[in-house]
Amino acid sequence: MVGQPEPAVPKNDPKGPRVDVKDEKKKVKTPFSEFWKKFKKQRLALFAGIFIVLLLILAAIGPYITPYGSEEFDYDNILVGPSLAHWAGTDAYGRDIFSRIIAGTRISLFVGLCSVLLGATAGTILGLISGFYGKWLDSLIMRMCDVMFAFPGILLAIGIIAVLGPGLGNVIIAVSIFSVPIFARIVRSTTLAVKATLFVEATRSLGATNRRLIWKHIFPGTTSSIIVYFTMRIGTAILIAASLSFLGLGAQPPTPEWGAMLSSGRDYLNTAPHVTFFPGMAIFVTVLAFNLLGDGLRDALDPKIKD
Amino acid sequence: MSENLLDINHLKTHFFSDEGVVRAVDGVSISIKKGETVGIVGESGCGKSVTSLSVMRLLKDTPGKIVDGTIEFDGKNLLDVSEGEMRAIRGNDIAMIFQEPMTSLNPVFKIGKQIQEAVELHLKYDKKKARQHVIDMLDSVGIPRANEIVDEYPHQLSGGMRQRVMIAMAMACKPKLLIADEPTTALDVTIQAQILELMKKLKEEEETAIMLITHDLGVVAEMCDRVVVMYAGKVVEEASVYDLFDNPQHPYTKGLLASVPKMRQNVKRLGSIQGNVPSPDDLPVGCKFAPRCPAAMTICWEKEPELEDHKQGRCRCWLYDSELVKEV
Amino acid sequence: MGTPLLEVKELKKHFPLNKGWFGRQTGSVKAVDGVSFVINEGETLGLVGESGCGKSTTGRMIMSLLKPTDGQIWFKGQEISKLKDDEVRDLRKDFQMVFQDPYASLNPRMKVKDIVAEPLIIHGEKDKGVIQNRVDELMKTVGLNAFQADRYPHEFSGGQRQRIGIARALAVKPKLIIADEPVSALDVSIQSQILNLLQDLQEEMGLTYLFIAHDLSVVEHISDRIGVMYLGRLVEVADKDSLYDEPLHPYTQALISAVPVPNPRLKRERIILKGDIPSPANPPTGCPFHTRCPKAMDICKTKVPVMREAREGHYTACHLYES
Repeated sequence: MVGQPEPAVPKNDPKGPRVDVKDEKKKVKTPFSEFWKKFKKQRLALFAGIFIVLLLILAAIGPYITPYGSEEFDYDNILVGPSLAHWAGTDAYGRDIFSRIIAGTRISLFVGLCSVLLGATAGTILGLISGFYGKWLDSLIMRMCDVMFAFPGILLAIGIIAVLGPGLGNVIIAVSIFSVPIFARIVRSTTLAVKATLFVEATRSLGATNRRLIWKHIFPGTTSSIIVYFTMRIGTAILIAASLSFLGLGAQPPTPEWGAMLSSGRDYLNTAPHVTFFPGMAIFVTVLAFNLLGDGLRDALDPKIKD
Repeated sequence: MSENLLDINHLKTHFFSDEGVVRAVDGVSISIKKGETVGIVGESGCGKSVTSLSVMRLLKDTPGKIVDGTIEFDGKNLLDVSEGEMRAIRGNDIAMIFQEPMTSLNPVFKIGKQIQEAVELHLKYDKKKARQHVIDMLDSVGIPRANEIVDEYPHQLSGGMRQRVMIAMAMACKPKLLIADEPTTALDVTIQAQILELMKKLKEEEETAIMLITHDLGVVAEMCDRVVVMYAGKVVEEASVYDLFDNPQHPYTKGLLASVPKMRQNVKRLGSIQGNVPSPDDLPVGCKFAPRCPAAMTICWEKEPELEDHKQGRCRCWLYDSELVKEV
Repeated sequence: MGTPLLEVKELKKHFPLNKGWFGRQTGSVKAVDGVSFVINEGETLGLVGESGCGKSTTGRMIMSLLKPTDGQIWFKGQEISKLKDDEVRDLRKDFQMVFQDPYASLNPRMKVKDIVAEPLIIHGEKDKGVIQNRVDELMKTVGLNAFQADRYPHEFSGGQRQRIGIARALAVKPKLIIADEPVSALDVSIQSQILNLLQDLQEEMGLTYLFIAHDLSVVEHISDRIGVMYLGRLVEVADKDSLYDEPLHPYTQALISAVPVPNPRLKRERIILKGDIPSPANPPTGCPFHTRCPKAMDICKTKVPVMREAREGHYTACHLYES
């Protein structure tokens, strides 16, 4: 065997290879442990993360623990303000708003997650192709994205709904379509950066195929920015979905969707503001939590920001 | 002590972070006489650059703090003067050249303007005289068409030219001490030769003292009168350039000299120092060099040796400890 | 001697410069402009020159990381520069590269064992046990501990990372290793470790090296023969003793005299060149070196000198040596 063993053991050191032993026991620092070390310092993001985990749990078990059914009418108690019996009051049909908000969590999170998941997947693939292969494919994909960017987000979504027709399923499609160019652009720019690194050239020199380069080296390099934008886009997607429902293009009554609830409370804004206040708060806090989490993730995942 | 232009005494510069304290510079004493060139040699993380930044008090934007020691310059302790006074000293009495000239030149200002400002400020020249002085300085560092170059921007120049501009800028106010941190590392060999010649010339003409920080033993041999070898934040050996290359004492210096390939020597195999350059946040208890030292003894692992006077300078090694030697 | 392991004939690489409207090509950077040399099996050819001289570009063309604009590359009597991608892939088993920057050349998201195993997987090895054994063996060969293979690159020092890069290059048992400035990013005491390792590996495995560097002392130490490049051209090729004892080309003379020698007692006459290296986008006419050459003649401004054998086995491209 050639090469000196390393770390070296001094020949006349009576205590033996101290460095060596210590080194072997050292915990392996994975990229995840490094990320966690930085992330847990960000109190606000950590808090937002915990909140979102709670929301997810609520979405899963919500309907089983709510005090009232989401479509349980009670004409004796219509537009009642917040009380011990109805924590967030009741709406015009006497339905318990708190129970409906909890039931709506599932819908909002589902719409948000699904649409961003679809949009991110398509956008990532387009971005990888665009950034990796370049040339006319890149121009084509990027010009298409530019066209989509030229529409204000909500107008684009309304346009898509106009074609597809109203309904929650179509809202998911609309929101995911308008997420595509955002992911395509971000993934493309990271792809370009990763593609230019020396380790990609080194792997190419080993004889790796393009497919291997993309999936083993470039895609993992883009995941951190994808995760960050994924988180932030969920907030936006929930907001857009709620807006569409508010306009009557998304979830239809009596579905306990937050935007739709907001819309139905509009008429009682003066007499019973709680009907709009609580669904509004739900949207606000959820979107804020996703944005805060996204910010925190960005700071923790960005290799340029240390400590 | 008054004969020394610069006296760094027991300087300790530590970096503070959540993970703990990194003793980047840990009790360093270096002195430089007027007109003398002192080389500070060491590998990455040995604290040589932090020492120079400490002298310039340029640690403001870093987690680094000078926790102990004095830096006497021209009879003044630089650690006691106010920030305003320090600003007057910087660029005027002490100037610095960095490794990467592009990062230390402001890209949005014309070259002449950047130097001229310092000249007006420190030498109290009027605009016209200052501009002429700048052109003369650029000319003296071997920049062709100096009267046109003053009105160009840094990005229009090549690396070698930028480094010349940096030197002109540093020398413009006739400093007493020039700190050069790896001034030629980023340059090509033929350009490096030009810059080294230039620094020698300036040193002879202006009697400037130079603190030359480098890892290149060739540059040290060529430029320096005295050499300080640093390892893991401490001085391990100091000697005149001739003594150091003829008769190195510390095992680290010996290993370093043996590691360098020398032209036309036909050495089949280079000497080397085993192991890795230690990271400053994870140092051994005893002598910092013990894990890599071919001559390490039991005591080296337990107790750190002091930097002791030696017949040809100073050395921090148990092999030369007066009491230990007597016992044997 | 037979056929050389690698032969490069009139290799050229011109990068187009696009400017103006519609990205019209307005010129080109002649990074490599007609380079020819041979490398024999088991020897080390050093390629030395200053930044922008085209030495790295030459190495990358041999590695088929860049397509040559013109010229041929012959490996074991086979022309390889015109091969298709699939054919090149098989050939890459015989060619491997060690890069300058040990920090950027390893994927920070992969464990060391996956990095070292990657060439094996790419070249069709599927048996996990075989891969594991080979990785352990390679780690030992380059002087690392097998247990360190479970870590990520950022936990290693520069010298250790360069060892990992070498282990990766050795994985598929190559014949030729192109080392592009493999030690210039390392500390002095680590440089010599890596140089010694490269020498030991060569002896043990009969490797052939193309060693690209700017440091003349390092190149002199490791090479058998040395080529000096300036502005995309080879100006001198000779075995190292002949080159360093009697450099013929004025550029080589200046280059050698410019190297600071770690010996304060040695005072040498130094040739200081005037000016900067010209831009390869706009190289001088005639001999590319004539703008800085202390011995330039009239002919140098107009005619490009041809590489010829000026002494036995000592080639140079300079009008001074044309009879």
